[in-house]
Amino acid sequence: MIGSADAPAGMVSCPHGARTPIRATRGMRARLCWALLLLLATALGAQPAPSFEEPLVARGALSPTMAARLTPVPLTGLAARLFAEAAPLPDGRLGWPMLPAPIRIAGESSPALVLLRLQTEPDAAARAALLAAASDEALAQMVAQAPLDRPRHPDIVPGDSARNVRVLDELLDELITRRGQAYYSELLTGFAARLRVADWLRRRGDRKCVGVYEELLVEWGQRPGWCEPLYRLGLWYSEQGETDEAVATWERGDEYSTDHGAHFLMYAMREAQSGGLVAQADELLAQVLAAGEQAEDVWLQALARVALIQRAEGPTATEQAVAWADEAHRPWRGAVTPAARYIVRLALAGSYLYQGHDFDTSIEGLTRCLAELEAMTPELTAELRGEGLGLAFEDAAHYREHLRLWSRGPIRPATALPRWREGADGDWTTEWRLLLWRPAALEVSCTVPDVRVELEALPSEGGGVGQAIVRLHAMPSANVVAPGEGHLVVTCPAWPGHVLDETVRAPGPAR
Amino acid sequence: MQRHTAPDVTSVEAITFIDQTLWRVGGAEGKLPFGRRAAAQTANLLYQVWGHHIIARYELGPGGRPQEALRRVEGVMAEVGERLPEWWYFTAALHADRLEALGALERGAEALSAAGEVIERYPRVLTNFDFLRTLTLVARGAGDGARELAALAQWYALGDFNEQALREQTERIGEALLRLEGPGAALAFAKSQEDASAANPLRAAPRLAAGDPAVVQAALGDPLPDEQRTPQLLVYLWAQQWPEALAFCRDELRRAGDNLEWQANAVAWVARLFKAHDLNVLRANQWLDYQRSGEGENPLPALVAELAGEGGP
Repeated sequence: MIGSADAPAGMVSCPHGARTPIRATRGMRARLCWALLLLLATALGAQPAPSFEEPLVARGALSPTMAARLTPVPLTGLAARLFAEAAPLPDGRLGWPMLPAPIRIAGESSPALVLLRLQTEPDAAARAALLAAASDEALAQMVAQAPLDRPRHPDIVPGDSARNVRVLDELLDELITRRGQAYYSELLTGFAARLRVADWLRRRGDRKCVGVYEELLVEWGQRPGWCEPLYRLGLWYSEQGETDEAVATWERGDEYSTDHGAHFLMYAMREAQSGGLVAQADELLAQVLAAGEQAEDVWLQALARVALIQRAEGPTATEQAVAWADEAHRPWRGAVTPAARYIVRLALAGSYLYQGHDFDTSIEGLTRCLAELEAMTPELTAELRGEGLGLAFEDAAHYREHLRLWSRGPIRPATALPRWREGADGDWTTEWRLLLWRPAALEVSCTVPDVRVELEALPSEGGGVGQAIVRLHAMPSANVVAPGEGHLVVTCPAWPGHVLDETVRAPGPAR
Repeated sequence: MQRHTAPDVTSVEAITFIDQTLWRVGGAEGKLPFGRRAAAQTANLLYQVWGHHIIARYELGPGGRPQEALRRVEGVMAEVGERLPEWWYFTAALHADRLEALGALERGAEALSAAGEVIERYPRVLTNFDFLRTLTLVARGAGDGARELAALAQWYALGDFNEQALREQTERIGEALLRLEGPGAALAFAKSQEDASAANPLRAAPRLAAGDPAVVQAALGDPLPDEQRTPQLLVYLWAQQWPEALAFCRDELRRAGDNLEWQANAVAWVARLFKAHDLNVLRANQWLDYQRSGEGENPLPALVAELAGEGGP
């Protein structure tokens, strides 16, 4: 290859040039040839346009990234991998001369092929037939080759984790459960096979997996990379509800991985947190954050921030979430644009509106966010203000309308107090619908003489808004000299200091 | 659909960052609650849709509830589908979720028909390796051998140019040919990947009838926006419009000017053209070798001659 250590620069002028490798010499000639052409073109005053007829390398040195991008991918050995019986012939070639004569390719002779079929065959009976036809040795090979699942890792894309579990379970059910091979069979001696056997035991709830994982850990020792046996051993304890053991297992990350120890601490922290070991979780999280900063590991810091966010609830957590989303990608993506700041702030406003349970905090936060959004608006260029942000502006307008509606308090009447209606028995009634910031229990009182008040909670509206009906029932009595006036007072213990106080006049003709 | 030329890109990046971070830490206990929180809020549309996608992925995978996943993604599409940007990864991912759910519910034929509509509306999905793989699995599940081979050929033609992708594809194709057409075809395919003179049975596979090329081309936009240039290349390859694809690669090289990195991009595009046309990587590799080293024979003139012979310009 040109420019490689085998063909150092200056080789052409070397007195021993005749002994230089042929490839290098030819390459040099080609490069010289193109250089001369370029010189000629330059001398003639023409700016040569790039052309596919001229190799890229003649136009400049390829950066490592470019070279990697343009690396050929030799595809060899497919037949040998899939159709083992067809290869090789005595002269070393694959069995091509046989074609198109019929060739028998028995599935069981090629574990890779059967494995492919097990992965893609939708029919369970067909898969069972494939398994039944395979030898013990072939099944064991497939176990070692089958892709691992990613427990507790939902896929982003149409993924294979669930499929991988199914394939491995079917293989090991066949080999161990049906055919009676021991889980420590000598057929299953490699690291990859035993890891999969241990997983199979774990999924069946069989504690024997612990011994296998521990053996694998000894074999693994300490090295760079993600230590699968340690992760999966921790999973076993976690799945069994043995929180202390799970945490202790994942705290051993540094013993087995020279570079992923802190990532295991994350799992330990999560386990401690979900198991109610709050103090331990705090301590572990502090360790992770420190490790992430020390190693300048963006991912680790991001993971720790995710954990922090997930531990909190309500608007504070959401504020942290959007702030993190805003900040965390900085190391990757450069400065945050005004559009991003606007949208992040908008998300925060939305969280105050929809997720806040404390009315005063929510209104205060919403007011502040909307003011900040207003202040940001001039920053947005005409381009950014275009269609891309149109939806965001719509949302902001929507929030402003909500703020206007709720600014009077968390209990607001849907309408003015309706007129009294006279009943057949000389009584009077009216109903008043109230909208509540959130569904909540109300307290109501009425100071108008001879008026009884009832309260009914209604199913909440969308967006978490509560509703209630206040029913007033009046039966004017002889004791009342004249229709009176009083106050209908609605309060809610959840919102102290917020009172809906409506003046109500007692019913009567023309009222 | 409304085009988004200057949208909230950074918001998208932030969500992508969250997604990838959560993917790394993983965990139903980590990602799902975040997804649920995102799905429950409405202040940030993209964050909301991402959340529904995460939940749908869980329902399709470990949850084993494709019906729920289908109900969810169809609900999201009905509610906010019109507002989703064409260029957003998770727009395509949501549609892929739907196709996968249909496939899991033994509605594979319906899924393949729906795939055409998705491609017509979001041509960018043709750049998505996972989306194209999903079509092969849906066809496999539907028990339609001809369409399965067509989907596999499409996946091979359009998929990424790297060893991991190509190994997965060629193994799947070898298995499918053996199952559907017998050992002769399977071995011939394997041979064709190493020997240019061997007939490649995959080239006889019909083009997957999913999506109208004219509609797809129109969806890219006219004039073609810069961000649609890679999808445009893939659309030419998908429609098997080889002369147009080559002319487009040349245009990319012209646009590159003195920028060597950009020129390398155009060179890589031609390699993908070779792969899609030949359904092997022999000439593509030869092309890359030539461009990297200046040695060997440039296979492009031969392709140009072939295309001329096939009726191209």
